[in-house]
Amino acid sequence: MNEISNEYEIFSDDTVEEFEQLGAAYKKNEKNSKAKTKQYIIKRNLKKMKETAQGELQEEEYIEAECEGSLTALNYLGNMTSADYAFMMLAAYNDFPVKYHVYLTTKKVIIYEIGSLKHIGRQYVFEYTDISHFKFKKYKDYIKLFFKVEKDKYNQFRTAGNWLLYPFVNRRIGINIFNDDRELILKFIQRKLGSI
Amino acid sequence: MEEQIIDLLQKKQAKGIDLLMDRYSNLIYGVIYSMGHHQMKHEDIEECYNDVIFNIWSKIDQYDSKRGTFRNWMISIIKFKTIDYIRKCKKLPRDTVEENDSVLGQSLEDAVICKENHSALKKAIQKLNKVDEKIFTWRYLDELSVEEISTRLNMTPQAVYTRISRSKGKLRKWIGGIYNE
Repeated sequence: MNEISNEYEIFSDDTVEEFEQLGAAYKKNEKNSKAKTKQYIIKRNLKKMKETAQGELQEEEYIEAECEGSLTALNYLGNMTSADYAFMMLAAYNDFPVKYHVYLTTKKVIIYEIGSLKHIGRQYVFEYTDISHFKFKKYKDYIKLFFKVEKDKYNQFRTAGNWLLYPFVNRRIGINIFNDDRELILKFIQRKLGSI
Repeated sequence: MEEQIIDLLQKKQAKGIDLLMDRYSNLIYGVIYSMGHHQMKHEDIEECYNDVIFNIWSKIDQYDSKRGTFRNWMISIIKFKTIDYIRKCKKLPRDTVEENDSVLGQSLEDAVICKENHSALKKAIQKLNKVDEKIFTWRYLDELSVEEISTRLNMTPQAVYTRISRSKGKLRKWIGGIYNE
């Protein structure tokens, strides 16, 4: 019996060159800019993010609100600003995301770390009952939200990849929300936590 | 260059996309065009190109250097994606017939299949629960906006989106995956 090859199909240099010449001739008449392609990737990543979030929903559970937020220094990163912890700031800079995307459902909170071109990084899915501590602070243009969470759905709650940062940041999430409806989002979370 | 591109893509850095397009856009266009120029319109080729780049970006972790070169892996992705698009183009009824050499007109057989699918879809929509059926009809037959539907049903727009998405999933299951968006 013939074995199925596990290798990728091989294309000779001549074939590849032919393809490249054909592509170059076609491209002359087309103006698909890099920006357009990147926009397409962002759109697809956002769609994928939404589908992933919807995949987390159970029967009779709906997404009630969604927002995008940025990383905040509230509480935990503030602990590290002294000179003693200066070396950690670099680790934190490389490890933490700049942005989060948050979905608030009728039963739980779904948070995705967002990287370049909106790709999903680490994910956190936890119920409102798993939030052990919630704090907020209002500013003129944004609201700072801070959650301390006991566990997430998959028991893989790691808000930091670096073990040096782990004791400071794990199970804590701080987000700055700039959305126009940030007040409504805050009220929604308060109402959910108040009803527990 | 190739290693640098792979490394940047694995780290999910946008610069990887820039380098990928600088280095391989001719090749990507070339493969798509050589396979699909009879069936695909220019906008399909453009969309297919974007989709290929997205696939390389999101599936880069599946690339295994032991199984072959990055270039060969990439051509396989382009070929599969182009076949998908050719199939999609054949399935889609077109408003206008392509001016050049491609034959996109529906045959009688295609028209019959399309009609049968349409009636199967109608039946499937009726199988949804009443609220979902209403939402689906308003959204896709009456072409109301999600905001209007949410006001009519006193729901949040998000809840309407979720219901639409779930209904689509159910319909796909019931009709056997004929309708792919």
